[in-house]
Amino acid sequence: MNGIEITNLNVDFGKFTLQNINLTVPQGTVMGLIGRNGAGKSTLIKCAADSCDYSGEVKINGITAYGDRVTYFSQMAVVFDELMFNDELKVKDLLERYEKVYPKFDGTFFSRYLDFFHIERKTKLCKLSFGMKKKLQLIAVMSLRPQTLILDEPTTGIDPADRSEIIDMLADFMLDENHTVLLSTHITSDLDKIADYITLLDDGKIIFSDSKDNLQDRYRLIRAESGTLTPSECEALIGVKYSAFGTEGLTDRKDIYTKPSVTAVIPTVEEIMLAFTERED
Amino acid sequence: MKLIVSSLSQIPIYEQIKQQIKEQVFSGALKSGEQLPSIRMLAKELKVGVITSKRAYDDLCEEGVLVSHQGKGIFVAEISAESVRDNHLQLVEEHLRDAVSLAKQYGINETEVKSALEKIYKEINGNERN
Repeated sequence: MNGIEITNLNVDFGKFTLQNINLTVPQGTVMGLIGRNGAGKSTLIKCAADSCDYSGEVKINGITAYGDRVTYFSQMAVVFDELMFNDELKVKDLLERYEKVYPKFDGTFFSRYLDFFHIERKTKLCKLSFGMKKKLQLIAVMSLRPQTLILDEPTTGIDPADRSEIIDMLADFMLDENHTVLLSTHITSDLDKIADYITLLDDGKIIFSDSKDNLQDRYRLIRAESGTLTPSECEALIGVKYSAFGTEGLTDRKDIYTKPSVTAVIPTVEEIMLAFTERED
Repeated sequence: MKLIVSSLSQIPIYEQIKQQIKEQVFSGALKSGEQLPSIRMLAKELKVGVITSKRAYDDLCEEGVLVSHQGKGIFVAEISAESVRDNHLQLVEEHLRDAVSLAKQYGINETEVKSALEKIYKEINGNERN
């Protein structure tokens, strides 16, 4: 069974569109959603959270929001980029509210992480740092014990130490093979680590969706001195760039990247993304 | 089991994991029959994707370095002294191949390489005697 299955998703809000999105996240894996600002990442997340209109189908663990709404929402949790709390509340007030509203809420889990992150219960939310607020959001939704987590920019805008702790929490979450994560992010270095799959969105369309291992097996970032590559070889490079130092680009053509005068390296997720979204400026 | 992987290395992460586990198995740091962390535990500890850790383990099982017991977990396979020796020989051969490749690149011929090798052994044996 797939953790998340999106079929023929289409959205048209004028400025924000998604076109023919077909996406599968196998259960027990982590997929990173990347793309430039305005590519449609947040819109896609909103569709999965059923908080915007779309045509097509979103299934989480085989269930659609229209099929069995209660089960759909009970087995997943979403964290959007905007912080969703009333700032005047104290941490312990938040804890109380969650306990009252959500039957599945695991207070012990919540408390354990509060202690681990040294978050004091009597602190007002407005007094927490941005990083702390983001951690608290994640702790709160994870305490609902969802099977699937859908996160919009979970580590964006926070310092490396806090980011590392959030990645640790996600790594912990993935110990359970029934758990699935879809996260959109600009911090591609996080994906270099924990992502199993990478999907690149550009202008509302999927450019590629593949396992990170496949992408890094297949593609090489190459640099060649001017004149080393034929014009057709240069044209074949993805995201080709010309400079005084030569020609640079991404390719999956072994005949190009094994040329003796060519330097070839395994690209990072960021380098793959930049090559595919390279625009003539 | 100590493993250190870097997402910035030119060696794919699954390859780094494989190399380090193999080293430890063949050096005896990991003993035959010893249990390794599950695929998911490994992924969590190294902060890598589960596909990556699974691939490393699958490859090592195929190579006969590890063995998977259904329901129980992943263990170090029974490694004979002979296969340890074979593995070491293979590693030496790989290094020699690199040296020969380099010699070829510089236009150094076979005879010169062989006398360089003799020189090295004379030196080492000489030092050992002293």
